[in-house]
Amino acid sequence: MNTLRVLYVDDEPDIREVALLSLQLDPQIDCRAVDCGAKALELVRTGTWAADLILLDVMMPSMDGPTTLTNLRALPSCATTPVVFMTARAQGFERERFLQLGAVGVVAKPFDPMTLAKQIRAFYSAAAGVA
Amino acid sequence: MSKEPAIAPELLRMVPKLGSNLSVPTWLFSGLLATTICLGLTSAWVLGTDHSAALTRLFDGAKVLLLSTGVSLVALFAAAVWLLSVHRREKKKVLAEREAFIVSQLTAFDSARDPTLLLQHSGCIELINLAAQSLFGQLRTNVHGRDLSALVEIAPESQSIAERLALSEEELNAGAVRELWGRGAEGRRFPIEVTIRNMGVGGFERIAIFVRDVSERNAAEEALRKSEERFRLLVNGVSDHALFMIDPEGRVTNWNAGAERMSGYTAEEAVGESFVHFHTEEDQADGIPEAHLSRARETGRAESQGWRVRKDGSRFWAESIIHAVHAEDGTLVGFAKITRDISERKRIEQLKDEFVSTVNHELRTPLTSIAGSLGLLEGGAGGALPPGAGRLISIAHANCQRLIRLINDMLDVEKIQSGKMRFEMARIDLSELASRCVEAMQGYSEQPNVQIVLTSGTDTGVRADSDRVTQVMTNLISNAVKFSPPGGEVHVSVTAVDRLVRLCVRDEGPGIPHEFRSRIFSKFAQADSSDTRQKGGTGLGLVIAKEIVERHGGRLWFESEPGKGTSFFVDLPAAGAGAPVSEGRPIVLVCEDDDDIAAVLTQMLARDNLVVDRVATLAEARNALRGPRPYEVLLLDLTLPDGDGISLIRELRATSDTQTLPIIVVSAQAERGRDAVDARALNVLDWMDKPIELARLQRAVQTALSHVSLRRPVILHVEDDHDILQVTASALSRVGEIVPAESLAAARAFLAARRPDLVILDIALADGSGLELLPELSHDSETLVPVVIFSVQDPPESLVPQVGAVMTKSRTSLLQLALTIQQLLDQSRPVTERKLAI
Repeated sequence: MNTLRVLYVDDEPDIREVALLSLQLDPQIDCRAVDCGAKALELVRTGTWAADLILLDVMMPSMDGPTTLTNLRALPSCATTPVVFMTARAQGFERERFLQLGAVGVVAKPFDPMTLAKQIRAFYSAAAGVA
Repeated sequence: MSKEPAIAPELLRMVPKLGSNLSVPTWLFSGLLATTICLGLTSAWVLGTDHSAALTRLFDGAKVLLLSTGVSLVALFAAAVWLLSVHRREKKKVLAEREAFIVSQLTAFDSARDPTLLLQHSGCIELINLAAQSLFGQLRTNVHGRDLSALVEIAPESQSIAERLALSEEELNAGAVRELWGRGAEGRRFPIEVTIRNMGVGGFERIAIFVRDVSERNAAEEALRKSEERFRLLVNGVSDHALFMIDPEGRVTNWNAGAERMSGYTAEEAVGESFVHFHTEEDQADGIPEAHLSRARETGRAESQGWRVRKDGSRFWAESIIHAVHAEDGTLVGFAKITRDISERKRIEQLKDEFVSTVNHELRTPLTSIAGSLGLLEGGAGGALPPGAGRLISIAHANCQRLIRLINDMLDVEKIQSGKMRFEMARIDLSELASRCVEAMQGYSEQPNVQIVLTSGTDTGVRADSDRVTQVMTNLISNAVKFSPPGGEVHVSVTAVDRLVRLCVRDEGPGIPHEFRSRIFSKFAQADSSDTRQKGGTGLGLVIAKEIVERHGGRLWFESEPGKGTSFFVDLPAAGAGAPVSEGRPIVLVCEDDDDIAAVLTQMLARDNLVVDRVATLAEARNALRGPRPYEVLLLDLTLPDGDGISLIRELRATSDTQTLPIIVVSAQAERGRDAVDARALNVLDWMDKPIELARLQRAVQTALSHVSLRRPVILHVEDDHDILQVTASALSRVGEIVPAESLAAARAFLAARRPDLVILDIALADGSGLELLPELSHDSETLVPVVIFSVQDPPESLVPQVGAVMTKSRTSLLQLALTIQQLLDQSRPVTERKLAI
């Protein structure tokens, strides 16, 4: 299995830590976590570390998930990178809305830590398959 | 014994007094007549003599004069005596007649129902009748000769009645009406309306006063006035509701204080304006206000929510109800509209939504970390745990999961209750969904020993929200797994049943205790409070599942046998349109154009295990009824897109196949529809207004079905005309089983074998008169068989009471015959049913 580079954006430090641990259960996942959209944009812009997939929290104080997504899409290097939202509002029509925004998947919070990595890989494969 | 009515002695006393007055002018007339004759005769004699010889014959003349005067006087006296005797006879006769007349008049006066007073012009009371005695509480002997002011509040006796009541002679002659106060016993006063008029009584002018006690009328008028006043104050005083009327063209006809306050328009400004002015321009452009009005016109009522515009241009969120107002004859008078400003409620709802959303997020955030950490620990991501710690971590993790489910379920319940749960309806195959669901659950089953077995059928397409239906399935299957004994099996099956697709989840668990069954679909209900902990449920799953199923137009129900297991069933309407078989269940045809109402009716009828076919127009109903499906009942709306339901009923009643089909009218116009037509002739089982009462609908449908589901009545038809036998048999095919008998002998042979429920008899038969059978049918009153004589000739009058009905062939339609027979059967059957029960 190839190494999958995941950029993870979440303002909650505890969740960030747990999710990071969960993703690292898959040794082939290389994950970087930042606490706000601005830092994610910064990281992408500098081009030092190119992510294969971006995992975005939805409700964040300064720049929320959908706004971060819009801003990321404006960057040439990130125009087609698959994005997965991670949110507490993952039911029914809300999930539909996130998919319409261009996300390839939605992970509901609270997530299952033992299968999170598997879920993320599945979304990535599906998106790569389509692309 | 005299047959004359008893007359009061006071009245009799008046009679001779009135009669004696009559003699005066007669005497005068008699005297004058005698003197005139006497003088005339004397003058004739004097004028008839020769004047020249007058003096010479003076003396002789004087003698002659004396003689002739004497003769004349004698003659005069005789004439006077004769005249007098004639006159006396006449007078007696006249007096007797007058007396009789006056007695009858006074008797009538006395016994008149209306209290009446007879007065002299001065106001002196001469007589009051019995009714007046009781009204004023005074004996007439006590008031005789007293002034009217003793009985009525008027100025005392200084002037005549006419002056005291300011009445002219003309008014008195024509009769004048005044409102006065009567004086009752013990100082009581009461309002009276009097008619005062001149009246000749026995040659004397009197004033008659007819009195009406108007206390009750006045009280009623006062009550009405007060009630109207109260209502006006109420309507006007309601300041937080706009209450106003709209005429059939949509113009405002009145405007209360609430409407003024809410809209900023005064009544003067609003009345006469079209009601659409108070809606937003967007709504006006879309024709929304008119649509509401026409909905109210059609269904009697329309509710809506939307923005309204104040005079200053600002907007408020309003909730309105429009009621159509009909006159007694059913014509539309206009609409009553009640509008309430619910901006505040809307704001609170928004706050609540925000709160729920925040709570959702704020609760989930820490839970995400906790559940994640515990999950990682339990999964060994933090390294191997000592056995004791591992057990504790498992407990913490399981309960964390339970808390998450509880939050999810509570949010679902909140969504369902506030009507915010959205359904993404699509055509899905329930079998396929079930197999995915079962597959997913096999791996996660909390009791790995429990096997989930799936059986799926074909034609299991439904229109549903797949996420929500999955939620229901997951809930039912996980319940079944939870309650299964170790090593047990959970059977999941999906089959097509009639127009439904049925999901069944059956377990081999302990069954649902009887005392718990009624509560199973209520929130936080669990058979045993310890179950919550034991089974890890939230107590909300079934509530949510039931709501979801019902919102799909389906039904969630169960069968359970303690000790053996429980089956939960989900019935969803099939997406396919093919008419399914009813498996012997009664089929009801519902003709209703409103989808929501049709869904409600279907759901109500489905509870009674009935199969419902729904059509939306008269044309569809006609087609369906002509088709092969045997409908037992027709539920019919009256206002349909292609016409009036009444016309369909008439058509059906005129067609032999459907003459006796039970029809139930369900319509906002039901009451008016029934009043507008000769309801009896249409033989409609019930006329039900909307909103529909479940109990009444069930009753009516049960009544309709009882005609068919009970043993079909056997009707013996004795008739020698083969053609008549045939047409009658076809007309009565729905009423019962017709056994033809073409002769008396054939009828007797049948009667010897069994008793029919009713007999139709022709009189003239080849081998005798049908009437000969009558004694054989009624010899035993216990099992009296109703008889209908259906013949060209009428039976003898004496036999009519023995039969249920006599119908003459040429004058009776087959429909009338069918209805009469149905009625007779209905009357007689309860007796036989009772007898059978004993």
